[in-house]
Amino acid sequence: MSGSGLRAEVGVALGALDLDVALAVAPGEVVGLLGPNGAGKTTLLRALAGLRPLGAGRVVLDDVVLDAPGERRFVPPERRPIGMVFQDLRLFPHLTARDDVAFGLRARGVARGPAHATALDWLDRVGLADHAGTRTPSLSGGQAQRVALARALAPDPALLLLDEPLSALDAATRADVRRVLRAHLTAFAGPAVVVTHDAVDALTLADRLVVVDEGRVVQEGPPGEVARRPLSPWVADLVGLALVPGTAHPDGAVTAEGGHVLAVGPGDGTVAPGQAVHVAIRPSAVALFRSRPDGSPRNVWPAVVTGVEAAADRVRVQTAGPVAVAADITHAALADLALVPGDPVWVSVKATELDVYPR
Amino acid sequence: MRRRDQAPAAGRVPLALLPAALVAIAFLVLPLLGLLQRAPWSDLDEVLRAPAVGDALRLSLVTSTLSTLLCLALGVPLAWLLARSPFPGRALVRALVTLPMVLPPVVGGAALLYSLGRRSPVGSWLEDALDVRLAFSTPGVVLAQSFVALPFLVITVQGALEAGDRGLEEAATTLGAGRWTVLRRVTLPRIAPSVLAGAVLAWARALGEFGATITFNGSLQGRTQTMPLAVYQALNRDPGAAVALSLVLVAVSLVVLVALRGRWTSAL
Repeated sequence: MSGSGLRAEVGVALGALDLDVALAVAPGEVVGLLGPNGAGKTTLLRALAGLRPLGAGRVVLDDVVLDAPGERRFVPPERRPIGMVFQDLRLFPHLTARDDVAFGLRARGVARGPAHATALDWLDRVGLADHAGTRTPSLSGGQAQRVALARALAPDPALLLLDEPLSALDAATRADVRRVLRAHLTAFAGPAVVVTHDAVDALTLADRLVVVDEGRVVQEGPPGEVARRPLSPWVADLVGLALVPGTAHPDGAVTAEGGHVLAVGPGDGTVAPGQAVHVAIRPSAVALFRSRPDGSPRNVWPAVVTGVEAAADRVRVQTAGPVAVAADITHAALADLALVPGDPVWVSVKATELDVYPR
Repeated sequence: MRRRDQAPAAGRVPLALLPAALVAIAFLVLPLLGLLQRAPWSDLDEVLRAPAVGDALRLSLVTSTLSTLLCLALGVPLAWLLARSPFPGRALVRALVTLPMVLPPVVGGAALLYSLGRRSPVGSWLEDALDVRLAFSTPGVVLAQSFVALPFLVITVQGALEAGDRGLEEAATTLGAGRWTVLRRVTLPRIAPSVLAGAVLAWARALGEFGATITFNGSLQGRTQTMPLAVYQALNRDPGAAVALSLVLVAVSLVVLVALRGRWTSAL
């Protein structure tokens, strides 16, 4: 399969917010659509699938115009070569796994025999050859998810849309299905769009991330870049960074909003004096002290503990001060410091540990 | 700890409801016992062998089944329209559809007579042009029964369509299914239990239909005299025969309802 991929400018009026997003996905590329609930991600997918006609803009797939209200063109969803996996799966409860996977082929005119053969082949590829005769309500969560994936892929679509494909699964099943999903996304020749609000899914499944908030694209880039240098508080929170907006000084320092001055490292030369910047602070770079520390870190300020939460081998301590940051400390350190919410604490961050980049 | 033999509070029936429920059971069962007690058991065989009884039973089963099929053919599309297309005047049509449920059947029969009878414009045209006479005929019986039974089917199916999960239909659409395929392969299988339940209700209503039938079609043995009409006629002449006929009607209804209810009509 060859084509020019997906080019879409999607304008949809959603009452409270207007969705206005431009999205281009190359053949073989997997774009992760990331954003908080209500950002418009699902609406964007539905618009691409034709379940929600555009108010304005264009959807072009492999040089075929699928939706262009300005030109009065609209290809109904059943005539679009698109495979979609819904967040709530929507397997047909009256069908077996095989008939469900064969549905798209049968609906597109493939005869019963070949459709069933293809369906069985797809079930085998997602590791469910033994469940062909199982009625879909009897499948486990992970099995149902894989059937939904096979069903979307079986008719050989030109575009694959997945809406939070792993959100309904428990952690163990999730890892398992993620592996299957990644293999199929890698093998898929057309463009693919995966909606998620899970950091691991976004970072492991997508070639490129598009962050959407309140109906607009707020950041776009390789997953590593987005995770390292988030431009929105929501993504920063997702990857566990504290994001401090501020203004760069000629001497390399940054004045955070609120007036606190942060000493930062030499940077990578992308930041000009006077420019609006973000400072990203990793919790592992933050140290906490009961009394004012001496020594090299140039960023030291008094704060108040607002939360203490254990996570595996670390304890995350949230603090409020001139700059709100989280610190990851060891359980032993927590025992030494004996911190509870409301306690005063000194926060210290090395200048070289702060990442500064333009907003 | 809760005692093991105690159902969870949410599933327990308040005791205060029990007396009324028992009275309701008695109210429904006692009249049947009354029938049984008055039945002419000694010459039951002879009464039931009368040709009029066989004719009436056969006519009843045939016409109520045909009515049910007619209700299915017309009622499912109508339910679809009412549930899925917000056309202007839908509220009015919904009210009209339920009208035969509240209207006295005699009024329905009279309405049919004045709209399709020999002296009505439509009826006289049918007779002159096509040589078809609906009033006082077996097809007329089917019409009268369908008239009163149709709302039961429409309301049941419409409710299922409104409650149904549209998401599945959307999913089918993204898989390339056009409207007709969605209807045939997703929606209809999903609402099948409700269609069956509606059909059973319609059949039961058609089987018991009396007022509209006798008004529109009279009571002609073998042609328009269904079981309820035969019972009514026998009541004046031979009450014992009427009771025997009633028991046959009760037995047939019970057999069908019990058989269907357990197996397929969880929606009923």
